[in-house]
Amino acid sequence: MSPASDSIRNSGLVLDALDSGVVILGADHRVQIWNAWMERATDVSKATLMGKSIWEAFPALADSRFSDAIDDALEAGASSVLTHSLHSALLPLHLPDGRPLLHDLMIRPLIAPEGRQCLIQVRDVTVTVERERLLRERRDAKYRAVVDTALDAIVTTDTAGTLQWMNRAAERIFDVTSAEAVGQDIGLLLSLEDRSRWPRGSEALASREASAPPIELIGRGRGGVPLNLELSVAEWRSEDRTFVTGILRDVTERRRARDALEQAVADKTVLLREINHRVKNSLQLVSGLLSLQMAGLGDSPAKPLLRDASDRISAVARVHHRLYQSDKFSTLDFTAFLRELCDDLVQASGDSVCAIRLEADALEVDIDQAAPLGLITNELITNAIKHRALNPALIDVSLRSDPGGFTLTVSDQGPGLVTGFDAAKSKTLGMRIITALTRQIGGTLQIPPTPLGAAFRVTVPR
Amino acid sequence: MNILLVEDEALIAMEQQLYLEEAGHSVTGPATHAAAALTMAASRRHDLALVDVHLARDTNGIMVARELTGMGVPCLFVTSHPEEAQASGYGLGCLIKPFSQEELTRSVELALEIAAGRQAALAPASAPPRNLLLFG
Ligand SMILES: Nc1ncnc2c1ncn2[C@@H]1O[C@H](COP(=O)(O)OP(=O)(O)OP(=O)(O)O)[C@@H](O)[C@H]1O
Ligand SMILES: [Mg+2]
Repeated sequence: MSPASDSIRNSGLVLDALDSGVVILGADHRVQIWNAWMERATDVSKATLMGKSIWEAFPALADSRFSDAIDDALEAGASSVLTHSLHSALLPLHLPDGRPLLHDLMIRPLIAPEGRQCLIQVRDVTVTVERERLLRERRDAKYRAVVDTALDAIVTTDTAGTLQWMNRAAERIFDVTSAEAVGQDIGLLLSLEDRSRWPRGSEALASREASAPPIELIGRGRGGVPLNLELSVAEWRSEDRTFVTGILRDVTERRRARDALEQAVADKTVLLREINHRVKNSLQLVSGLLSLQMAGLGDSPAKPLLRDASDRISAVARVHHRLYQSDKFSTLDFTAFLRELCDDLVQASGDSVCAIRLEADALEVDIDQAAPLGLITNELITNAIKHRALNPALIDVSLRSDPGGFTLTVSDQGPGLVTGFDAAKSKTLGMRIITALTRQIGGTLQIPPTPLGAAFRVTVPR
Repeated sequence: MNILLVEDEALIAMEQQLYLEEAGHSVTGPATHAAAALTMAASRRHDLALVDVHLARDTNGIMVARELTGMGVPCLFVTSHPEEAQASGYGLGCLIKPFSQEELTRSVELALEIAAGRQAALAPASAPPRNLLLFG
């Protein structure tokens, strides 16, 4: 046997052993090679087809993408790839168990000594396609599970705002079925005023930032009941079309709770103001009762004691007066309080008796410190007036505030304190009130040396 | 008698101290928060502690009463929150604010008698003050 015929016989063995289909056609479309794989996949034997037109095996394909590709190869020498994904079920092939055999085709020219031929290779992609389908289904199922069990409405429109799709939560929230809604304008789900706020058209979408905060909208719930919605949107493209998917969160309950809370706070504010007002009035009444009692006392030594008591009650009343005038209840505008206290004390004792210079930084003090501070200040200033001796009292009140805390200084130009004066050891009520309350608010009392008069300094750290 | 005063409102503490001293007692304090109260309690023997419920530094008189009871110091709450005091399960009773000198003095006497186990000897004439709530 010649080496040439050997090689031909060997190549026939090889072709029959291949795991893909191989067909070679002559220029006249007659079959020259039809391997064993093709026999199995078509049930057409090599013996019946050899030398015959391929169209005897595939009569239905004589005018198809397949025949075009063969012509391209034979006439123009051009190759084609026809994949299953773009051209499903090109050839009527089947698996051994009878199921359709999914395949890709490669069709290319062959230059043989006897002229141009056409080589057709068929590749089985059934397993690959099946695996891809499974993967895709699994991914879709995951996605669908998320979307279907979502509590938020998820809807998709095209760029014109026409509904394409909605999830179950959207059907429940807006009380429509997907079948009714799809094809209608998104406005179906929204209030009249907010219909235009769904992003439509490419410009509206392009101008939206990805991280933009949710849009607040009013939607139409069951029976047209308004719903407070928070909308987050994203656009996406598929096969040259743009879609808008929006997640609409129903925040009606949350909004209602917030409104109720705000109302409750407002009510409390009114109540607290009312309470402070009444406390102030009651204290004023008590102070007034003491004044009435004084009136009947003539020159009795009890009279100045009652006056002191009445003044101390007024100082506390003034704190509540300031609290009800402000809309803050957890702090007191101490600067305003001081100004008022100084004015009142000057007025009560008369301009000829006392003058107060006040220099105060703005300061808000905690409510717990307000009444004690008010009383301390009252004691310090009344002392400067009371112990002024013969001259009118010239009093400097200074309030300095910095991040570390604040300092209140009351100084006068009167006779001054006796040498060795110790506030902590003082048995008189005024000093005991000052030292006890200063300690209560966490402050310290100092008596800085002055060339003239007396000075007291209360320092309170923050 | 030695009495420990636990009260964070300085003026009220001054008032209590004045009344107690006028009644012949010796006063420790006032302690304005729990830690101070326990330190003072350990410093000497006390026959009774007067304890406010809400104390400074966000501390609580009920916890103080629990510790003091454990140390063998009888407690009488003095507060405007009698419900909290009563629910605590500690203390002999509660004097509800505001109180007069007479009411405080009388309440302290009664509490000392109860603590000493002599409540049976109470004369009917000495009814407890209206604002004294005795527990148990
Ligand atoms: N600004 C002052 N100038 C001179 N002496 C003062 C001044 N402040 C206080 N003192 C002295 O310190 C003493 C104690 O003051 P304190 O306020 O405790 O008592 P009071 O003013 O006499 O009476 P009260 O207890 O009614 O206030 C006063 O009696 C007075 O002698
Ligand atoms: Mg004074």
